[in-house]
Amino acid sequence: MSDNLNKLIAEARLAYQNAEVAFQSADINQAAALQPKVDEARNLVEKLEAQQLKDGVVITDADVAKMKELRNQINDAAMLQQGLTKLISILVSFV
Amino acid sequence: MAFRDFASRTFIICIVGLLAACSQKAEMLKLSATQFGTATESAFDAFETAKNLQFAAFPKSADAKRTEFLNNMDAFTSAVTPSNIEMLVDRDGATSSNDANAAWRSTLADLRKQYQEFIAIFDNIEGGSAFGASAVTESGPILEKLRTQLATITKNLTQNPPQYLKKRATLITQLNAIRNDKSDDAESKNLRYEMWLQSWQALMTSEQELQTNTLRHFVSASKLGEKLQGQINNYAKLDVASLIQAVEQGITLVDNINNLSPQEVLTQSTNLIETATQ
Repeated sequence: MSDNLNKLIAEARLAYQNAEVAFQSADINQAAALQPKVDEARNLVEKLEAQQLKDGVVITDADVAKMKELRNQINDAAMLQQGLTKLISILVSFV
Repeated sequence: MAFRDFASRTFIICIVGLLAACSQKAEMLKLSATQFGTATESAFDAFETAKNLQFAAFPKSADAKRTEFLNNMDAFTSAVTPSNIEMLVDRDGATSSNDANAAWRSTLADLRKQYQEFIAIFDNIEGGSAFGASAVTESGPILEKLRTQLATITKNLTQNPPQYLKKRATLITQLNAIRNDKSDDAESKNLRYEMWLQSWQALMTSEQELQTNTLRHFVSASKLGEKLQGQINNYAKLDVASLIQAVEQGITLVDNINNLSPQEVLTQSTNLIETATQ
């Protein structure tokens, strides 16, 4: 599937370049007519590349929530540890 | 001192020692995580730059723009409208951003946030090292996913590297113009061809640099991620010496990757893809 997308992207890039060459070679009046074609070709490249980037995302919202939870866990652990360390330092002076 | 007092004191000193050792281990982990975070930020920056350059045009002098505009005003037979004005002022400036581009940027922004969120997990790890161990272990599977994402981008960059699409089109247009020009004699034409070839080769060199540079960042980030994964997976077991060594290796590693030739970077990224998908 992703190799297919890579092939499509390669083709879309060539199609865009062809459109761009035609556009740049034309006289100004023809160019005005070709402009939408160039935009369309560029849009296709960008659309496919955006799709490819999105397809690669495997981290879910649940994962992001989990990351926040883990961060809190460690922060809590830090508070607990701080308290414990203070306690120990007090104890050491008594032992 | 009674035996009980001695035992209590030893026990407490052990705990203090343990916390100190854990703290060092945790600091090393945080350092590795930070290295990974920085590397992924750089990689995404390079990625975004390369993406923008695909549709960049050659710079045009003010004089050239002026001449072009005046010629257009002379030759253009239709009415000027909001939709064609940009093209009439500067043909290169004609195509602009679109929805797909915005979608790409949005996905990249989301990606950045994910990695930042992950690194933030370890913000207070050195303070919470002893009791935070289980949280560290739980972050392991998430890091696997984050690394898979990087591997996918690396693979796609290897198969379809960024190109200077618009600049290529411009040079091709110029070449056709030289070929169709009837006014040149053979010698002038050959000279123009030679000059054109130099421009083309310069562009290809520039493109190769762009591709290698972008790929290099992702290879670095991927390798640092691999190291971090090892440390996280073994957090409960790893001793401090190995962790310090791993961090030092991480610094040397990035240094080495920066010195690799383009061919070597390509080999590394291909190997990386193969191991990451196992």
